[in-house]
Amino acid sequence: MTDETKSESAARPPDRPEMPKTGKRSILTMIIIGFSVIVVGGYTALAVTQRELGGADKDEIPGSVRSSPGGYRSYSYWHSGYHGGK
Amino acid sequence: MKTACPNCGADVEFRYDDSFVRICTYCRNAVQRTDRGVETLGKVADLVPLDSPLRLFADGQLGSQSFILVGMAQVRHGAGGITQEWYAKFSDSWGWLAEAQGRYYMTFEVEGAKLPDIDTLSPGEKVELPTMLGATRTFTVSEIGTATYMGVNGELPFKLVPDSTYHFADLSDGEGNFATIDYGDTSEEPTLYVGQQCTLADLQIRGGEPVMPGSRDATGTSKRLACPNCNAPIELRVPDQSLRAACGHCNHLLDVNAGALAVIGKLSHKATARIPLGTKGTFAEGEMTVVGYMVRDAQIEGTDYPFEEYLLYKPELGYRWLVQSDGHWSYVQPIAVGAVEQLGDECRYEGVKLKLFQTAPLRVYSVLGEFYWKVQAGEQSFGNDFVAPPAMISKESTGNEENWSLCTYMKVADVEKAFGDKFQSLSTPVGVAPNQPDPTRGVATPLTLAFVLLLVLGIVFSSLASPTTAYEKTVAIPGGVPVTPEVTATNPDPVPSNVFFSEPFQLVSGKNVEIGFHASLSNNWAYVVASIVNTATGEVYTIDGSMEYYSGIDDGESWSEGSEVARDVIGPVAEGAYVLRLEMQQGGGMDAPLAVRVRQGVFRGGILGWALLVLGIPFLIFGIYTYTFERRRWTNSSEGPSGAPKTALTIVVAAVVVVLSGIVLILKAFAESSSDD
Repeated sequence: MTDETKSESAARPPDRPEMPKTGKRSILTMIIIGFSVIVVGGYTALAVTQRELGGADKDEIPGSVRSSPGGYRSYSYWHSGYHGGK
Repeated sequence: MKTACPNCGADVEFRYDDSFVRICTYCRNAVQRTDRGVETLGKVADLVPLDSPLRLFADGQLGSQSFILVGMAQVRHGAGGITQEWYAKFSDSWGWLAEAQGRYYMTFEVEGAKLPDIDTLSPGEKVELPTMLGATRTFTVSEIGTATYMGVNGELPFKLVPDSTYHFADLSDGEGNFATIDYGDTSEEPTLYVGQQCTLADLQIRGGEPVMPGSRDATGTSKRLACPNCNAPIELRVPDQSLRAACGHCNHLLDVNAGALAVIGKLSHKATARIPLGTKGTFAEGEMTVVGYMVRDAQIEGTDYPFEEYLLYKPELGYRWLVQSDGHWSYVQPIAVGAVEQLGDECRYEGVKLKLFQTAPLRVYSVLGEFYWKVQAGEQSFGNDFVAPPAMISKESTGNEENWSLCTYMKVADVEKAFGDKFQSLSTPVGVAPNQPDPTRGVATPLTLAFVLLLVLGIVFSSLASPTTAYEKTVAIPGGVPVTPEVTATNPDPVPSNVFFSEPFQLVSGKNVEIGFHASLSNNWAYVVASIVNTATGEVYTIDGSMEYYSGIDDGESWSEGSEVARDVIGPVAEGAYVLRLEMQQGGGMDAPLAVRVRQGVFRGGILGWALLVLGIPFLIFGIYTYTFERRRWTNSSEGPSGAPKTALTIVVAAVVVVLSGIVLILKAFAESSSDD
């Protein structure tokens, strides 16, 4: 008998069953993969663009205020436009 | 060559020049030819009718080489089974084709091999043996035993003495290669036969003559007999291979000898199979018939843990098992000895590492149906189970034999489906089976990878961050009530004393902006509203910061709470000149210094923390689930819960459990010590 006979006749030897596969990815696994991608991707996007979630209040001082005496230092603008404080 | 039988004078024809023995078809004497003529070796026994797809003088093919089956012998195994040995004439050599329980092994004699003494061999031992091509392979001993020649037919390439018994060792390398060492009666030099296990399809058998008149084809013909004890009908579904049968009516164990039954004795326990004998089921390897059923138990620390085994049969395939334990099912296939590498408390098969789960003596409790070995109640073996769900590899050892098998987990619904939904609610699984897959098994890897990736990204972004300071100033937060100067002609828009406007400073685009505060406070609070104003466009971004810091000494111990610092971060703004406006308050009567700093391109550890938290919640939930699932599995193991394989999830959860347990213990200790006081 030669090696040729052996290779031709024995693809998978008998009594050597295949190990069972763990099966296809479950829906739960797919959800977790998607979730992980969103979290890691979202963090990367925020870190690269340096954007903030939420963040500062944004406003704009009207041109009329800026061109008036005092400009953006105008007390009346800040006084009427801001109601903060503790 | 034609000659006359020395016993009866009938014509005996040796068709092949290199055959030694021919069976006289008239008087069934074994006629041997020598250089001195012919002589008889004695009368051979009648052949036992066995189902076989092999036939005398059938042509076959192994790879590119053809052969003819010119002779055969029936051999009774020391344990009782009958196997057939066929002699295959190739163009320049002889092959030995062994046929046992639907398996075929074609081997060839290897001359001049140095072989170990039979007394030095034991099942599971590794032996280096030469092959046909002169190379050396490692084989594992699967069985050491004896066998006796029974019926013979055709022409034989060696001197076969009727009724002679020989000793042998069977070996396998797990790659399909097979070896037998024939030790004869142990007084002769042993002979090595090496070859491979084949399928019927590999052999391409065609033509030939029936071995004996009336012999049957391999059609799995069943045989209906009467129980010699109670006369109840017993159907033998594999009459030519079964050695034992148990009568379901009178519960007697019967010996099966060439299809004939004889009473051995009454079984002490009656077996009741939920899946009746004769039921056909379709599994991964095709349709199989339930031919036997037994209840066995694993004896662990004085307790018996029973499990059921259904013996399945398919003529072209041989035997398989369907095992049920605690309501969990496994489909069991045999594995060639040598295919599994055992390393201490682990084994490796097909590149997969399996962990030792259990070692226990196994005992046959009750039997029903027919079996291919001489089963008896109370029969003992020793089992080792290795797991890597959904697979479990079992090793069963007796004194002179070692068997390995692959057990694949099956859901109850799949078992019911295999039997065509004839049986509803076959069982209700209890606990976690050794080879039951964790339903969340696919979750751990992506979660762990994502967690690690996040940490790596955090480290990378942190090390790449190079914050630059755009503005820095220390101002005073006035104490008391803020004062607003009077409006005058020269100062039409006065700035209150608690408001500060900076000089313009430059901010670049594409980088975040951090505004940080540090107030020097002593049992005081401060609150700042900060706005940066783009002097060109008038765009305003406003944040605020709150700080409070209190400290003191109570009962001789100093304490402090709060923080003097605050910070907030704004996303990237348009490039240009900006002014910082601060509107400040504090609770003290004296001025409080406030350091303010505007930086760009700062690392946002908070966002990383949130991302880790968001990912950490499912990580922890699934980790706890996996941890408890594995703990339930390994609690039933002889290795104990600590034997469970470690994963990132289970390590994290185990750490949490240890920390929480430690806290509980400390709290308990405190509670006990205070109650003692």
